[in-house]
Amino acid sequence: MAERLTRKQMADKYPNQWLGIRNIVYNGREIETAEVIYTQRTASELGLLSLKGEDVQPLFTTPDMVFQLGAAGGMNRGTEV
Amino acid sequence: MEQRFDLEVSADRPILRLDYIFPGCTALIDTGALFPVWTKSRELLEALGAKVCKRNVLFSGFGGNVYGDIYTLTLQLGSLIYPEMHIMSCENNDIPGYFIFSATMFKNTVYTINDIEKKFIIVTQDHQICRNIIINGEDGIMHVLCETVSSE
Repeated sequence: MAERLTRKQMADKYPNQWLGIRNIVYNGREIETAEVIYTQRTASELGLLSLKGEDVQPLFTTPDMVFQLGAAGGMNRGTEV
Repeated sequence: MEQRFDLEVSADRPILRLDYIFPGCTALIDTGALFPVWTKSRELLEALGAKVCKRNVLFSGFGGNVYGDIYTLTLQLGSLIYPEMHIMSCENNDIPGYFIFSATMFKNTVYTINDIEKKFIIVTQDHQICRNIIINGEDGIMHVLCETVSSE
């Protein structure tokens, strides 16, 4: 069953992953709330569903938490010193 | 000619909205990149009409080397058309965008990332709507050739 969450709740509950959302309520251009209908899916799976016309939009919850190093990619969680 | 595009408002980095491709489609704008990159599955890329033209090509980046395939994809961005644009395909689910748009895609334009209004603005002065992006490695070193093409 879909749960309606705010943008912040999505980021807090499902950090660093792609969600499938629908019935989005915008505040200007910003997502205020949306129904989360898919979790634990890849961007590709969600993109294919969206492309095929299913009422779902892929969303990466925390776009500023992932750090790429050029083509190699990867996620930097940092090291305590 | 000036064209304005929406950036993702909830991101600190420039993520371009491409909802006309499919709802939720996005591109990370990388002004340090030479090659456009598709970062998700080949199945989805091919569903967008892309055709593979070269497999297992070695690309080097700041973080190391990676193998990818080169596809051709006709892409439209506003009134700019990239016919059969060469694009590297290298899957990484963690990148917060489906595409990476490279600096070379905007060669000979004035492009602005307006982080206050969250807009990406492209100004072209050559009145050419077609732009060719070709990844070429005939001499063993990967190059990108980018040129404007007359629409007449």
